[in-house]
Amino acid sequence: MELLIARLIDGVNYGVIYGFLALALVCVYRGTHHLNLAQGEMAMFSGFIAYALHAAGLPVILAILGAVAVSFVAGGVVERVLIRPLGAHADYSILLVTIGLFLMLNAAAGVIWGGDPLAFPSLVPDRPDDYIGFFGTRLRYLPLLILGVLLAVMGGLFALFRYTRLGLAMRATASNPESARLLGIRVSGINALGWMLAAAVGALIATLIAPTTTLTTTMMFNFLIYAAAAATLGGFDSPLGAVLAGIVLGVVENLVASYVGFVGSDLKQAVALVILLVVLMVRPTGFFGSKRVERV
Amino acid sequence: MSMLSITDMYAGYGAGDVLDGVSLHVDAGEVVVVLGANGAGKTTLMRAVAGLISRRGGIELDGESIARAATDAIVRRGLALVPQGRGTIVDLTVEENLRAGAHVRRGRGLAEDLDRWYTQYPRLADRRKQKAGLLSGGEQQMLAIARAMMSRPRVLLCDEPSLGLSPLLTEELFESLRQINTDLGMAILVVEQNAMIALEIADRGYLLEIGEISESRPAAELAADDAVRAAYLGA
Repeated sequence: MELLIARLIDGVNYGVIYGFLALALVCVYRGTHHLNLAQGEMAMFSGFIAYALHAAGLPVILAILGAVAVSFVAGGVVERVLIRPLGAHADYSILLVTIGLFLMLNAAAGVIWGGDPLAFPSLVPDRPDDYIGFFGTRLRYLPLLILGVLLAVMGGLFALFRYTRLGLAMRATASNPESARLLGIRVSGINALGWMLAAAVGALIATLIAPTTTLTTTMMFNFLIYAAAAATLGGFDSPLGAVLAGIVLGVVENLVASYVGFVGSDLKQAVALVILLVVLMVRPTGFFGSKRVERV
Repeated sequence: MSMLSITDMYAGYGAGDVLDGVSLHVDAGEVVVVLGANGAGKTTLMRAVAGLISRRGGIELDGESIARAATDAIVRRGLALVPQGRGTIVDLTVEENLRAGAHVRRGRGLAEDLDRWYTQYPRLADRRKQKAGLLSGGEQQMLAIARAMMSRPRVLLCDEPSLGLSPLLTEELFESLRQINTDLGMAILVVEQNAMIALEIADRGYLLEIGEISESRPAAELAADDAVRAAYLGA
């Protein structure tokens, strides 16, 4: 029983990270229906920015917030300079540009900060004996913090979408860009805002997981794959769906890896992909995705 | 003084122009209809004026040129287009669609306007909390007009509002357009295939044929013209 609870907690902890990064993917996707393959690398780079700010003498919390702010602006610059000039229908070009951005950021981080993992301090106590007992297992502070921040971000997005004029414009744009333009909404600005939010969310993720994963140029690789799977499961245009799917993915993956003998940790990633495959065969739009109706 | 004035406008989609030097104008308080068969360029005309496709030529809204403006800027200056197919924002509720319609006004006088359009179209009021994608075709068309009007435009463009609607609903819908025109003095430009009903509420009409437009004539005269009747009224 204790082992099961421990596995569940582990699964949720991972799942929260998958869902968090999936949320960033969804922020971009809702605007222009593009998958930003560089989302993880943007987050990684943001993590290094926080490292640099901390190394320059800022307290951890300010280094994190500084990286979030820088990333927010940089996300807009990337959209404006690399994505928007390609036009609304340049699907493959944009996919390629995000791959280019992936490689560029990865190489740049390597050049600037070197290939060795760098340590980044935790905001909360994270020594081996820092935990809360919970039914005989351990709840550690850092995963709780990540969960808390994720919930806060979700709450903020929900309030933005639900109660503000800007949020309504964002939802209108996500649902029907042409109608949104006809209502006087600056759709290109809304899309840029999606990139900005995604980059800021990525910065939060990277800086929050860095104490555990350390800062390396490859720290986000796995997470991006899981996040893409979670976003697909969740429906790609639903923030809540992406986050829930991320958590489900983390839990199921951990349980299967622990209890199905031949899977173990080697085939863990395959579990996620099998789940993805099965769900997409049953529900091609994911659990929460809106069906696209083609008009004649 | 023309509310909307189009001079020698060319527009199309990449390979060649669909509109071949179209000129027309809509005066303040006037309902103008452009009649044309399938493929004549009616929708192209509407999309070009709204800046959704590239176009050349003069377009003035209340004396100001909008020929080079982007769609969102054109809407902010007071032009609203009810697009063909209604452009329903299916994931938003009826009321959210209407609120989004008021985007350019930054929410001033929102409550009164919502009341105004719920009174005009009571069926929308009954369904205000429903997702707009669940509405019937007729209700979606009403929603599209009400949403366009929520921006308090100076000129309203309607692209084939009768499309896919029953004769009874079409009648009701054009009656509401007539009311919008008489009550608010709204200048309205409608393109239609359904000539009979459109001419009933129009002051003047143009004929659009394969990208070229005729001189305008009074609606009553067009409705009585044998050649027009043969071509557009099925009589």
